[in-house]
Amino acid sequence: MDKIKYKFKIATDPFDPYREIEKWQINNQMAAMSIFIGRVREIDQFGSQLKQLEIHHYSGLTEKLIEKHLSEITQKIESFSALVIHRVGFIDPLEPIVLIAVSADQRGIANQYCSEILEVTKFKVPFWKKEWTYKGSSWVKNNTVLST
Amino acid sequence: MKNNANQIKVLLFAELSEKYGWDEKYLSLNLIEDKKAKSILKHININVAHQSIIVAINKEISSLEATVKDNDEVAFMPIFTGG
Repeated sequence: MDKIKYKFKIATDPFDPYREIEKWQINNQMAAMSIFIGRVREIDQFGSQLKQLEIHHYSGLTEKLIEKHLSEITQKIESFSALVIHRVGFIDPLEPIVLIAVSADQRGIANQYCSEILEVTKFKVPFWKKEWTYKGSSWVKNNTVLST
Repeated sequence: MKNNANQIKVLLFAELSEKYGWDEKYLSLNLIEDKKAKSILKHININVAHQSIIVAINKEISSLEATVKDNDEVAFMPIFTGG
């Protein structure tokens, strides 16, 4: 029987990324693991103090697009395993929004696909962010581009 | 209203939904002469730049030039901002 090489979850409630990794890695240990945890910023896109972030998504299409991408990676890479969790709903500043953990037999593969999956969640999957401050709310128009 | 023959389900998301005050509508495809997604957008009076709209038909990413069929689910979405 083929081992399922990836797991994707939409989280409607707060989650502990370290606990999720601990559970997942029991059956997904390889030589290299890359982890990304994205948290809510404390300020909005205009520099005001953020009260909460609200995330909407298109149920059904979100899962389909992420799972398609993860499946395509598994077609290319034999030793690959991934865990992806993305929050929706109202989230407080500094709470986790997204967790991506990738196990592989080489660090280059783990790092590359951890980064690639993150960019997919940012630009290729139907999630939308709305920022709430103490003065009102605004939709995020564009995601930040990848910078180093 | 339930989806019947000759109807399509139209969905709006996020800022579009908020701006136009609805997120789901059924409409008769007979009202759309060329059956294209861009004509549906015009018919429901969504006035936004085409490059800032992402279209999905039956939960597959598509385009404004795509042709829609009876009973399709057509979603108009703003640019994605997840992650």
